[in-house]
Amino acid sequence: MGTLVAFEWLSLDGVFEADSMADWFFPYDSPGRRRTILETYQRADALLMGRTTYEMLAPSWSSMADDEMDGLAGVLTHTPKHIASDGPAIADWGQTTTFGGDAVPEVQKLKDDGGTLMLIGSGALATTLAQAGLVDEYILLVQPFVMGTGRRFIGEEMQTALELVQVTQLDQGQLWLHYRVKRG
Amino acid sequence: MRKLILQMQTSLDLFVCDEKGSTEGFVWNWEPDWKWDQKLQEEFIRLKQSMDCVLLSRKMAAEGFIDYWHSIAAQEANPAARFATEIDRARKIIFSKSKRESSWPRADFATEDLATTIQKLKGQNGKEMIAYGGAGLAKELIRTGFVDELHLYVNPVVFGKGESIFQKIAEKLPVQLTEAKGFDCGVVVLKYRMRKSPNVPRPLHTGNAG
Repeated sequence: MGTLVAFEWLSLDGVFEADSMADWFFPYDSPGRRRTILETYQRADALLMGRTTYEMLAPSWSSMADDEMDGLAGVLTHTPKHIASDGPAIADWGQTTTFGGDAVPEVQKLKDDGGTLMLIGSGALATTLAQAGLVDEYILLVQPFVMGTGRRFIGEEMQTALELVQVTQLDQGQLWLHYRVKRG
Repeated sequence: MRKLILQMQTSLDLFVCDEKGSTEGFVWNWEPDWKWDQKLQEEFIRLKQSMDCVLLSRKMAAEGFIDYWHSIAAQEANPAARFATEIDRARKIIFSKSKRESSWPRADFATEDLATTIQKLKGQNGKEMIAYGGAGLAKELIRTGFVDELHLYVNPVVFGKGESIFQKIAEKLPVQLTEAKGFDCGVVVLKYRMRKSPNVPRPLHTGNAG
């Protein structure tokens, strides 16, 4: 039985939407954050994305050389990717498979294969999987910025008890929070 | 100028209570039995020892905040008495829309508007000032820019929805993380320096605003 980890980038108040990243995410770029993001992705045996996140990432990341963005491009390209989408893969971006229909049994099957499956972005898919009890861990990269308004990653249906695994403070005041979902 | 610290317990999604007003799921809900680990207790006691003035809403006062900590302070064997004593000793300023007399010891209702009251208090000599809420007052303090430090005691629970101190604040707010510490009981203490400067009323302002 594998582990499903949701890795999410958030403002302090939990906003994760891409439209406002110029406010809450980009200003806090730092070598420490880049290294942490790379190391977090390296924990993944496979990545999992919803259609929206995939279509946002695929065009730019698939066109990068492996050593771009401090090597992050290569890690993203060479880690197998599973996309919850009815359509075909839109870019030649390493090993990418898509699946349509109900995501729950599909993701259950992927988890049964073992290893660490890492969900990135993909708020709607995360909600579906959290509701089905399939999310095992959350890794939250929290930026020191309060948006006050905007779409938040953690939604109404994601209520759960957690266990704290680790807290790390990065160099620009970003936080790396790691939690495990408490069962039973 | 002394500092105003806003200290609140929250869920991981930064709600101070769930939609029903409950904080079930917090490691410790302020019961007499103090369920935090020793290190977090020490951290909390140090914070209380650094202040001598408590700002609170009328609702919190009415719900028994002052009386409750007064009673805990009297329980010498209770480890929580160590910080309850500090709250008990501190001067309490209660914010209310209607002005009234306080029957609590060392507690007064603010007689001027929030901005004027806090500016005056900040200018006085003394230790730091602390605010705990309720959520409405906390939001108002953040919005007006009077909070110097935000101390969040983040509990290992996701509420999904509830009462937020950040939702619908008028503008975006950069904050500066000064400390992040995880504790064995599962609480993460986050300390942020707020970088907004207060919307200070003009000194000669004599209008009827507020």
